[in-house]
Amino acid sequence: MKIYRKYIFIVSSIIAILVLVYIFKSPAKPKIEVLYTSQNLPAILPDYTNTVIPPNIAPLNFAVKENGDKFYIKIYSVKGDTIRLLTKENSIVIPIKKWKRLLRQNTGNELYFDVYIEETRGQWKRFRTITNLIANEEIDSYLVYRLINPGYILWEKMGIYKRNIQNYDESPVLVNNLAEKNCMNCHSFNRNNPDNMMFHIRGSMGGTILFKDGIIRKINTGTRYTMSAGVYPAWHPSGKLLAFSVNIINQKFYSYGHESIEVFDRASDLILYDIDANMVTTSPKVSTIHKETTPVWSPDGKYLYFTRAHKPENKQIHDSIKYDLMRIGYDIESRQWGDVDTVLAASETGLSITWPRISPDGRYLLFCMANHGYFTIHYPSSDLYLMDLETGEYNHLDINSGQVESFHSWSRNGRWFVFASKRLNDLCTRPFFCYFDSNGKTYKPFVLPQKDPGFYNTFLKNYNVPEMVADRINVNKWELSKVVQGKAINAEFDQSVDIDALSGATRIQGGQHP
Amino acid sequence: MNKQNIVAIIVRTIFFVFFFLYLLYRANPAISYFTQQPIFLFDKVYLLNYLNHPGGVTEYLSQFLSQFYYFTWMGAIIITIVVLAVTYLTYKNLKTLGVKRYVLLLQLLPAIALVFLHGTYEYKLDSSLVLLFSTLTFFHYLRTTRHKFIYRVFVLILSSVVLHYLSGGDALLIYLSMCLALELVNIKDFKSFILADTIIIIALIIPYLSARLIFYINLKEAYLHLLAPEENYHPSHILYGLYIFFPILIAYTRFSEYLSDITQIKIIPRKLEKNMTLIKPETAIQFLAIIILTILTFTVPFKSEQKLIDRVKFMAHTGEWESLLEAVRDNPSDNRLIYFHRNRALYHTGELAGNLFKYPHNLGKYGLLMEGVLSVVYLMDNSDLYFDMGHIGSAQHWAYEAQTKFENSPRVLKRLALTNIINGDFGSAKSILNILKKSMLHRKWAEYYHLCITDPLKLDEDPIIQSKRKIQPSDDFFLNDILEPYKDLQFIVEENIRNRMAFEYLMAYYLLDKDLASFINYLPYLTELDHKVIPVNYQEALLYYVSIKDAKRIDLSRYKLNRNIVDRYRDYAGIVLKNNGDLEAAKDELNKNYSDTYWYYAHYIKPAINKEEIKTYSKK
Repeated sequence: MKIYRKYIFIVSSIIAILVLVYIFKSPAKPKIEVLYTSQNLPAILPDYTNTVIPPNIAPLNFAVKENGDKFYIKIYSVKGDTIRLLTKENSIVIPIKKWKRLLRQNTGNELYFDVYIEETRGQWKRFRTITNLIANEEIDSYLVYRLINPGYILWEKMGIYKRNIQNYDESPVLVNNLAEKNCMNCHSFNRNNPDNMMFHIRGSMGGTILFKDGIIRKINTGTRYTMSAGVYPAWHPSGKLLAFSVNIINQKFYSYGHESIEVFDRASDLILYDIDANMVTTSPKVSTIHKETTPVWSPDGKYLYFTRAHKPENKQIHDSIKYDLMRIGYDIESRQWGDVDTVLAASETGLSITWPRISPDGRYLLFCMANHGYFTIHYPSSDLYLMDLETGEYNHLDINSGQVESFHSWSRNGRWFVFASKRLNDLCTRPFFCYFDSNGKTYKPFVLPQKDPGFYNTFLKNYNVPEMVADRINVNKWELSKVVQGKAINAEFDQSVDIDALSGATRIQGGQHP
Repeated sequence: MNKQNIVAIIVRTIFFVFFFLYLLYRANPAISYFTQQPIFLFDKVYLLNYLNHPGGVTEYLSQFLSQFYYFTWMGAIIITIVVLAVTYLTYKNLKTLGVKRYVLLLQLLPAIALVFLHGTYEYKLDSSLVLLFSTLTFFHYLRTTRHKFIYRVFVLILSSVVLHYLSGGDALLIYLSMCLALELVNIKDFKSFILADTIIIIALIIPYLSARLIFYINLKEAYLHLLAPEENYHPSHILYGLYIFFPILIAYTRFSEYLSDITQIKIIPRKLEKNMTLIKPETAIQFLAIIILTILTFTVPFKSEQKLIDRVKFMAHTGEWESLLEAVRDNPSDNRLIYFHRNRALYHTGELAGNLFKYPHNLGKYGLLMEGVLSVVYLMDNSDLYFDMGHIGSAQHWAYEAQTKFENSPRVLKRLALTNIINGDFGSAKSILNILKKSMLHRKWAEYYHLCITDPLKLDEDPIIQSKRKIQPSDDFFLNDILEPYKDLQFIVEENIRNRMAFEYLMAYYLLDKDLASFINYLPYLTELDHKVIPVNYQEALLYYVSIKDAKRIDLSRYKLNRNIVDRYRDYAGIVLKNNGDLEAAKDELNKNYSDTYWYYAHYIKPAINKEEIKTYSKK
């Protein structure tokens, strides 16, 4: 009994100490005599100034990049309690509960950060107030991305991860040590629905993993008549079809300069995969001698947008190929293809168009343009552009930086989009969120917040293909890994397709005639 | 303290003093450091990467300790302490189990095996720590033998869960197999059976549940952890033997008392018997076994080719070019990596152009440049070569690939920081330097280069950056460094002939490839470099070219052929003629005096890469 008493005493002492620490840790209003007020905004990293944030975002922790012995931060809005933080460290970690309460109470209002630094004992300097706006519209609560090292040929650890944007929880959807260390890529969701997901596994376990309505399948979308298995995916809004490009992808490395690698297709076409019928089909209109790739469906499912480059002249240098933006009609009921239209020609823009993504209301088309090619994640010239599909006008977005801006996707409500940018360190892509108002105006983007404000300074992995989803992905990792490790079901090729009419690379590069 | 204890202490002390000296002067943990490239970062994300899987805590501790291998003496101390701790725990376990025979030998056997393992540069401290923690856990389990059954089951489950998380599936396997051996050899009643069954169930269930429900690991990782070979990790058979040794040792403790008593046999001659204390045969056997095994383990690892490769790579890294050439001369090998670094050493000692053929070239051009499948295996070796050459694009390309495989390797990160600074990509360089700044060993280095980025004057004074910038190609071209790396050398030489290394490598490539037409094409570039005379091998090739092509006139600019070399070639040709042009017949005679010439290489060496090697890597 004596022993127990001893333990009870120790445990209760620890609890008492912890309670006291907690009570005294919360800073009361400290006495701050401001001797000097700067007209400048304080330098903070990441840059969370003059931006618009969703009301359900995790706290925007930041580091104050000003010299000081102590830092005092006030975070407040029109309503609710002010969050006060007094710290000796320049890393400002905002309590999540207070932050959430403040944001919830102030949707549509401005959010203020007052930053004070103690330069010498008792002498505080105050900076101009940082102002951000809390939007009325929430953002989808999860972001899904692949984390991958900056290497180009090899890989070791790789995984597709889901991150709760409302806090800092990150967990894998699948990591490649559950798939014999094979490469996995091109995850995609149907209209931000976590229950309609697909991604590819390459190498010894090759196949397309399809998670739809609670069922996980592994499909081999490669057929005798297609040059490869499906590559870049696009869900038809009905969830019945997936459009894929089929590509023969090559890469070359530059010896010097800011572009390190050239990823290009020797050939590419488009195919459709009918999920229920397990059938691959195509049309001579999208399997031409030219290169068709990066498909995306219009939200009403009536058009398939894609990019197309003309077949290169003999020995044309890969870094001069430019892609046009095209679309083709498709009727899912009759499974009939319409005609191909040019939406925007590279000859008009002088740049190569890639990764078209249409807003959920069907009005706007967000896309990338770069000096050449389509694999823009490696091109510093790549920027985001927005096209109004009603007027056909497009413009260069002022959210771009001097570095790579590439892969992007819309939130379910169309008020937010996320894109990958290398603006923080020129090396690795980071996900940036941008508010998009009902008039088609964009606002200064902000990077995905992390618990540790210095996180991005040392994190040497790319956030690849950021896709927002409405909720957590309800797939059991064990079941998923079992399917990944299992055999793929071979897709059938649609016998009604006129093989001889396929003038494109599919026929040239693909299997033989039966 | 009785006499036997004193003897044991003396033997143990001598053994560990030798062990320490062996590590210090022969094994050299600094080479292990170079081979393994451990890094320890004071960083939360780094820590979380270790906490997110079973065994991660031990790996984390191992990374912390093995970073000090950088200093040979610290590495030697750390390894000695860990092995000493394993030995002590083995001794304590033997004592607790009541073993009285062969205790000295038995307690030192794991240490002897660990001597062998730490003598190989790939062996990681993790495995020794795994052994340490499993024997420590078993030591505590042993103390429960007199407690109630239910208490023992509770301790067993709790310790297994904790050990599995802290040290991984391999630690659990060793621990539970020792527990099982203990229970099986001491079976008394039904409860003993239950306990044995419980152990088996725990061994099966804990790793399974951890993989199934908690961690993102596969079953192999859950059950075997560091015992399972991986692409860049191949545990030694000795390690398997060592892990099996412990349960066998427990089983032995039970049966040792039944072993035949051989203490009565006297091994001392009768004449000596009167003058000295009786040496028990058991003691003599132990001494003998310890001495033989120790000598074997101190010497055997040094005879392996892998050891030579690791040493050669280390010497290449530290720029000990003369020592490298000496090591290669003393230990002839046709390993491609050894050829590769030897050829680098030849360049750095100024012998690549003049004395190339004084060294064997059984692999020909394949020993000069890595290409095809091998280029994606020897990533940093490739990066090193191109960095030397100022071919920064390629050096960086391979370093990024290496970073994918060895994420936090300081060697890789430093290379990437430098190549990015040379290229003026300061943003990328900063990110990499930020990582290195979190390592106590590399902080200073990183801070210096961080300063270089922010202070252009400092950058202008840095000899590495400036020397590379001077010879770096400034024209952009698509790299051929995977399939046809010599083409990159052509680009570099044509753009900047002042790049002496690229030129000498290109010329060596043509000579080794016996492509004299290309060699002759590039010979005029020689005038742009500071060669006072045409290098010997070039003159030899030139003479040979003139003779076989019957070339009337080759412009040598200001250069002249050396009379001795011309005479030597005349003599060489004379021997061939004497044998009526039969090269096979002339071979022995020519081999005596001309094996160090291009002519001999051209006639007799038919380079071939090791097909087995290619096959192995193709599978990868």
